[in-house]
Amino acid sequence: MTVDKKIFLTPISENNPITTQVLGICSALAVTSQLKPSIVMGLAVIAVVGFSNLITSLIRGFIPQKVRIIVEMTVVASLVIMVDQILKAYAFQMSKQLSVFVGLIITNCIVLGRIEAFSMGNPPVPSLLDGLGNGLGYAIILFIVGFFRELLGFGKILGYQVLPESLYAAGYENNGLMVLAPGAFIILALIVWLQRTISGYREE
Amino acid sequence: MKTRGRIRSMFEKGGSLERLWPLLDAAETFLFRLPARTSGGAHIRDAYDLKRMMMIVVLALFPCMAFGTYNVGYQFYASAGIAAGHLDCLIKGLWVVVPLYAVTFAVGGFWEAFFALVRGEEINEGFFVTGTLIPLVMPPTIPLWQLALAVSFGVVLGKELFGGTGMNVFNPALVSRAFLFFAYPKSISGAGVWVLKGDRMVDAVSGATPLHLGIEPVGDIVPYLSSNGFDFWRMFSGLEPGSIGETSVIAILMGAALLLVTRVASWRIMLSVFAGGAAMALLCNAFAPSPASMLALPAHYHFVMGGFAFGAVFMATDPVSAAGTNAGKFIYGFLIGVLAVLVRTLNPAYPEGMMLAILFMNLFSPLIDYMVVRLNMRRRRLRAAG
Amino acid sequence: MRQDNTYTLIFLGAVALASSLILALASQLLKDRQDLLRQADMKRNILIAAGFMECYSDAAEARREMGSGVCKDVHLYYERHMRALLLDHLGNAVDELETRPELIDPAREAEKPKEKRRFPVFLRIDEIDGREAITAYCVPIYGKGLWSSLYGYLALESDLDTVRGLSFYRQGETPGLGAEIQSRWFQDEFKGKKILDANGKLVSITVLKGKADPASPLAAHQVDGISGATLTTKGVTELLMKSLSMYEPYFNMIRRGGAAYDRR
Repeated sequence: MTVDKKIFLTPISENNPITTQVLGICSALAVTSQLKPSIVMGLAVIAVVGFSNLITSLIRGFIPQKVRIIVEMTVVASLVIMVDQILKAYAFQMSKQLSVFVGLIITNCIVLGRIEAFSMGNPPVPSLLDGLGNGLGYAIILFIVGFFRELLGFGKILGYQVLPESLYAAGYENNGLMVLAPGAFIILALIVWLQRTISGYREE
Repeated sequence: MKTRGRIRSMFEKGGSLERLWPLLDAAETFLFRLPARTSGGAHIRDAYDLKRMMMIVVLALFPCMAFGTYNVGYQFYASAGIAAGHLDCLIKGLWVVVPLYAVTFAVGGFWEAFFALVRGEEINEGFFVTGTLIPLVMPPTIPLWQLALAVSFGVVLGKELFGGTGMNVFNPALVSRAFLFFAYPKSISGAGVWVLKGDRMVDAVSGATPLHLGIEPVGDIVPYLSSNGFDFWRMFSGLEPGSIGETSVIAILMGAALLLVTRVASWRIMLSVFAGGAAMALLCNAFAPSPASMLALPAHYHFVMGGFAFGAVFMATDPVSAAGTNAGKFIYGFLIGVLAVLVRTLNPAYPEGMMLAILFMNLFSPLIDYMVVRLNMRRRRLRAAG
Repeated sequence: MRQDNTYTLIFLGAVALASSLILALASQLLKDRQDLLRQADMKRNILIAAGFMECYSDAAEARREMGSGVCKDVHLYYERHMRALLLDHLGNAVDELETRPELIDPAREAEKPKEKRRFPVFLRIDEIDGREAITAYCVPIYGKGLWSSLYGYLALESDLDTVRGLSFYRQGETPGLGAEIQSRWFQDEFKGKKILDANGKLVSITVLKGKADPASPLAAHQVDGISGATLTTKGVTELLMKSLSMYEPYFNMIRRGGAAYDRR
């Protein structure tokens, strides 16, 4: 089982889909202005990547080679629509806030990337772990970005004011850049910088 | 000399303070003359000694600095309706400008030293020009903590992230300003920040810059500006609200003269920025729906308003972030002028387009150079073949 | 593995069938709940503008997630206190059972030809001395800000002149500047302002560039601007005038003594 553990763990750290492979940046910018939508988006992606990996791995022996991508996309799209429907029914305000970006999980490179690179050639259990690991790797970065953007941009965490009123009275202001999409870029860049400084990873 | 040698040996390889070598090196190069000098520019495209070149830029900025300091005080007393002497204006201005410089150099110097220590490199003079520029492009009311953040942002993300002095894609001073512009827009846009607030303001409108007024002119734009006290010669002389160093075209021209005589800055870039601005302004004039619009503003008004002249002379010519080829410099400068006027006239949310225009063209300067070099190669190949 | 066309087609058919079955099932199971939430969301926005739900101190709280219990309460409350009408461009009430006034999108209406447009109005009905009386008229307001479309509701008192409340529920303006239109202080400024001048002509409410002068004769039609957000607030001024003028035929009819709605 040692192999399985690694499948799950490396995408969270050294082979992170966002910071190392630089995939899925679009939604990482769009939904992370606050922590809560970041968390929901992260969970949605974990679910979609995990299950699409599991399902495609289960039926990988039956998929004709020439329509491979179509079948994969059908599986992914169905899962994404499910997630969207569930959000609309149980977290309406959140789904309004995430708007098109839930639907756009379909086009998130991480999803199709993991299916093509892993689950089409591996048994179900490692595939599920690989999917969950990659989803979690993506989600963790979203959490970090969302945390700092909400803290610096609004002075809040999960909608609760955390920076005290006295700080504002002393002249502090929320950072408007963090609320804009470039704020996510900057935090993302700092995370990548930090991670690569620690790990010594270099782009070839 | 003997003590200096002893101290020096402590910092050299194997000495007890080996890790702190860059600090000693910085102090030494600043205080003493050394046998070894930096040769080649920060961007390795020019034959000047880096330190001398930077000193000339700082000298060229001195008129802007001096006039800006005076103007801060002048605007303060004028808005408060107090008759004040020249000396009073200057002293009031110093009260504002000196803390801005102190914060800028303390913060910028800290980051320079920090990265030099981490990387084990010498502390270089790179921050000297940036640090001199930053307070000059700030409104006098900028809170010091925001300035400190902006300087950090400009130095760390605008420069060190790319590898330090000479490696930066963008002009770090403008990156600092752009940071403030998007992070704390209230501190650096609108009508309320360009004049120090006294206990009493006589006239609520007097804080607005001419560019700000130009967004919504009441009546024809030129008479409207002069009726608010902004006729051409006043804006040329610079006794108007604005960023500290940018208001006086006279002071800027003095700096430009020094930069051009010493050939520190490129005349091609300066000239083409103004040419681009003029071309775009003429085009806008032709399409202006009525004289009561920013589009109808004549070109020479654009030159004396806001940061156009300052940007053209001191920001666009930064050799690291500008285009390097001669033809490229013309294209680069021309497009800066065009974009600056375009943003000013067509996007009322950003009355000052100069900063954005320069940053945008900074991004394109490598591409411009690449194209110029490729075209040159093709032409030569054709000539050789023919 | 079989790779021939027959197998491929059968396989694709099976995949399509399976996924569509699952999705249809999910959609059927969740539809009721989705509708409940969606309508409760719209109704809550209307209730907030009409002056109910004072507890929502700012826009962030008004976006709080509602459980199904709260949704049902919103529905009940709305049914008891609000009455929705649909008007045409001349201000006449129209009966179109298929259109829910709450779900009308003003952006889409604005694109239609004049005769086809429908204007929803929401009446707040309270019981005064044992009789039903209209205490507020709530209309959607919509227009362009600097970067984005602004959506909200404006509620007028029964005199059809005094503003009872205003709330924006959707916008995408610059955070810290234009986005302040969603803040409590800005929306509260409108309370008690008048939309008609002394002659009964619509002048709407103007958001000024700076501070409003309370001594000015126009003070009842003006509110303080948001510093640094001149263009967003200009958009607010424009959209108020535009939205209110669309309801003028209907409001004038009532001011002349007409019935606001059919009491049958």
